[in-house]
Amino acid sequence: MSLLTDRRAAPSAPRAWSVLGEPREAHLGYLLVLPAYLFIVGLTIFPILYAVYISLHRLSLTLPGMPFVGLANYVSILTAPSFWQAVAVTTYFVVISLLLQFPLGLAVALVLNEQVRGRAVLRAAILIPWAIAPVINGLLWQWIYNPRYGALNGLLKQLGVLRDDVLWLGEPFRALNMVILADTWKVLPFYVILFLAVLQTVPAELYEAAHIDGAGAWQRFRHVTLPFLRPIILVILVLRTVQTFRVFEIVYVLTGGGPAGGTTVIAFHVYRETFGNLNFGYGAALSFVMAFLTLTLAGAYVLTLRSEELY
Amino acid sequence: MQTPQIHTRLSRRAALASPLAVGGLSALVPLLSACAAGQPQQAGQVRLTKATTRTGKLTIVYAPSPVFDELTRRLEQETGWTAEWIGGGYDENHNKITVGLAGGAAFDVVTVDTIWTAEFAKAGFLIPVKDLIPEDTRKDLLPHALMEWSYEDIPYAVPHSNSIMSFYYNDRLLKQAGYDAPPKTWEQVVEMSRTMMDKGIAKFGMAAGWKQLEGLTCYYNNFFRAYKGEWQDRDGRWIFNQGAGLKALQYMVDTLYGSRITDPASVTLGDRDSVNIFINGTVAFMPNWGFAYQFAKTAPDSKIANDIRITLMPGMRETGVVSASTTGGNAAGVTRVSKQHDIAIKAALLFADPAIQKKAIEVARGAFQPSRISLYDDPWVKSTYPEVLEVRKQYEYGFRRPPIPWYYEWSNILQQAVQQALTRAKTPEQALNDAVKLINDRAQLYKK
Repeated sequence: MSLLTDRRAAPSAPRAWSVLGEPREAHLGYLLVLPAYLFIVGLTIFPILYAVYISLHRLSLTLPGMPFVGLANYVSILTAPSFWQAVAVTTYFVVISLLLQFPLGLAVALVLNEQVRGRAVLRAAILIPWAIAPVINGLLWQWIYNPRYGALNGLLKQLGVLRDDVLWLGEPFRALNMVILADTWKVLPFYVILFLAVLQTVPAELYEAAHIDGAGAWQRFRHVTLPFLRPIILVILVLRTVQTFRVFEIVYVLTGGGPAGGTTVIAFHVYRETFGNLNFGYGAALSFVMAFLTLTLAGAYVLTLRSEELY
Repeated sequence: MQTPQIHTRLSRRAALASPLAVGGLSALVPLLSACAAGQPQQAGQVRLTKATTRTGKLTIVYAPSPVFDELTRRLEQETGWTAEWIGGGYDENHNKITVGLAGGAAFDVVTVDTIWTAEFAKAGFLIPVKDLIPEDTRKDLLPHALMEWSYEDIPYAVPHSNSIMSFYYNDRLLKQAGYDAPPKTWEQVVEMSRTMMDKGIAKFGMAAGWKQLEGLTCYYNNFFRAYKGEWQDRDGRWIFNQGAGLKALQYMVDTLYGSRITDPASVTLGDRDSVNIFINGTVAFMPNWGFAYQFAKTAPDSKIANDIRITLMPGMRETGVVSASTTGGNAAGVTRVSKQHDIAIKAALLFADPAIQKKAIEVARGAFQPSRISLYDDPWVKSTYPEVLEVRKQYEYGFRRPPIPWYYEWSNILQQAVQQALTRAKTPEQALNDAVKLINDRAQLYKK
């Protein structure tokens, strides 16, 4: 029974909370959700609107005044080579990360879904990188990649793969790939957990039926496993694209955007412009450009994958 | 006294809200703004405030150090006030101070790196200190100390530590190669390094922190000044893409790919990382900051504890410059928004107190360069940490980095250009031409 029905059933109920003839229950409802509204408006909507406002102004701690500049900050961003370089670096980071992490995460999840010995231990162990703080992860890989006393050069030299030390972070393109690798180690558990959660919901009978019908391993994966994975694939693609687009900590700690700006992703560019150069108006505009790019990508995924039949 | 122009339109919300809107921290902005206790900034003469209570707590933003327990005790003894220390790491402090003070945070005393001075002064964060430092203290400060923290000839902080880059060498390797003395010029560095490398005595001649960080600007500045470089012409246009500037970068590139005396890993190393290479004992030379000496002497895995020596940063035979090095350090600035300037000034002066600085030398085991002249004559300092006196000799040849309010941006552009040349992404000429063009464009904006 709804409150409305309830009220009609008792027309003589006192209306002490009523204002302008409204029923008191509605007001009570507004009153109860008011803190949540205030919270959302105060902590989310207001800052965003205010950021829009200052993105239209020249606001820098090292410049006097705060003149209205219209879309000048946005124009500056879109005409700055440094921004487009950051976009290119970030795009590469996102694409290669997803291409690398997606199949790797799925492969590990498929292995962990099998009845292998020590599965429980493996499942727990795979979570360890995820549990490590991003900054610690960066420091860890800084030591691993150190050209003179790092673990990676040491290992590869002991295995006879290398004769001389390699400067893993000494050349812009190589450094970018090394950062992606370090990030992959950190985020792989995310893929594994989500894939594994879905894989465990696939009924064993379907595999048995496919097996009886003569389906091989690839066909079972293609026609049984994959249809179940499609919804989570969308979720992972959207989440990871957004996350990877905003990658910051690993770059900050590992390379500081170098060498020669080769690992300056957009988020790091925003950070440097805002907190380093103290150009808050420009930084706010950059944040919105970054948000726009991220939302566009996420929207494209949703539109593309939603139109397909999931099962 | 001339006072800086204060930007009255910069509200606390303005400074805090912008970069955070899209990020996860956006939710905190209005709360932080509402809680900020600072006063609106005002143009004109500074009105010094006085504490209204006999006891209280100052908020001091400074990198943590055991020395500051002693400073707090002294402050309490002398004023009745205590202190809350909220500092963190170097970069963290810069961001904490700029965003905090722009947002009206109630900091009383803040750490000021030499390169932050112009930015903080221009933003109106600090009060000028020249007239607040007692005459006897001022006379006992190193000659260049106050100048390091000056903007447009006005000092804005009380000097605590005056750092300068020094040149370290491995005496054992030099002796093995038959050298009795360290190199005096950068040309000699190449010659001696090549000899040691060819004889198999040293793996590389030099290790340096040439990663894309602030340190890289300092290393470049050393070479730049050794070539008698001037950053700007008389009209204020940046011109380091020609002459000395180009020669300095070419020298760096040549040591990587020509004479190959610099460990190529240097382009991935920060200051501290390069010491880790140096203490392995296979590299002959290393320019670095003061901390490096004690680290090399005391690190458990150091192979050069008895072999490390300090000397003047080399000069340049070509130019006749005897030596050129980059200055740095930290000082205590009193914030304009402090509601108890009288107490905050006393706290800032304690940073320059001889007893506090002596304690700092002890805690840092010599890796601290005091700003007080008298400490360089102190018998205990002379006998226990003679390297402190050695480093002082370098002050005569010290050069500031450009004291401009937009230094961080300027330095980032330079670092990237230098690294583009060091990684051969561009030629030195291309890299510097691009950097100078960008810097001159930005300079136009900041002139307004």
